Amino acid sequence: MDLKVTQIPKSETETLEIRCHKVSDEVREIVSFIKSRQGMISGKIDGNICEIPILDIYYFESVDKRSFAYTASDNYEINMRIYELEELLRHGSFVRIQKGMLVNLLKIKSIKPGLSGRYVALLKNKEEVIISRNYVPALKKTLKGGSI
Amino acid sequence: MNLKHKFYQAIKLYFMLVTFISILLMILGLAFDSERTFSYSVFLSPLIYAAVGVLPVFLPGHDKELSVKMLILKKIIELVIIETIIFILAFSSDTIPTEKRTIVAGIALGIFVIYILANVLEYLFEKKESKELNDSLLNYQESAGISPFKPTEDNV
Repeated sequence: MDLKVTQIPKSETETLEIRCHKVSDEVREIVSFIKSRQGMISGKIDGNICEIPILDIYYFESVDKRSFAYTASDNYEINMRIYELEELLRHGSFVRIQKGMLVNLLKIKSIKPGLSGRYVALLKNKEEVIISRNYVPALKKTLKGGSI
Repeated sequence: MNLKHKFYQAIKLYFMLVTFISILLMILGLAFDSERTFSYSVFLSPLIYAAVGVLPVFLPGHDKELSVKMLILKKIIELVIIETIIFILAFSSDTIPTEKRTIVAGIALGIFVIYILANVLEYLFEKKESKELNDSLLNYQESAGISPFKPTEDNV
């Protein structure tokens, strides 16, 4: 795929256009990345594809090799793997807390002990998710890193 | 949990158990069998019993994190396994007078108390850590504002 970047005057609207023979997984990945840069991600709910503001997502979870995004009231199937989402959102407020789960740190209300070195994160929608002991050091590092 | 983490957890638990088992043996000995004398090899007993006590740490885990209720159930099973192994060791050893019922009951109760104490200590340590985590989380959220995604130069 050729890549072409053209600088335009400020008076014109910035546009990113992908001209392809087929909307392949690779193209979808690029589209997902662009959307995430704009604070949106594509998800499927009841067979309909819609745009979800990343700001509204509480956590991503992988269930039976499928990824889901959970907002306060809905859950959407996401066409990406957890590791891809982690990479995509690595500069954001999402951190891995389990092998198959990324949580939005801005949606955590509090953290309490979860026995055996684990912790339980109480989310702002009153859901609880387990922080696996394997991911506690990385979480501490992210939190102590200060601002995002 | 990978092997490195399991090993780290086992070491932490091991030294806690050695301390508690030594105290338990002293209490049980003074209460029920204070006249008995032992050779220096008896100093090995707490080390051996503690090694048995950490064995359940290496039981195969599950990929998915257990809920708190399931974890408590797992801990109860671990306690039963530890009690069983310690009793097998105690009944096959000459140094422990297992013919006395009070000694057997004391061992069972002692293991239970040690197990609870070890877990309570661990919980208190985690509670202190969770307070630090909550403080860091609050700072993070305040400094992050409301945006969960902040583009930077290197992810362009």
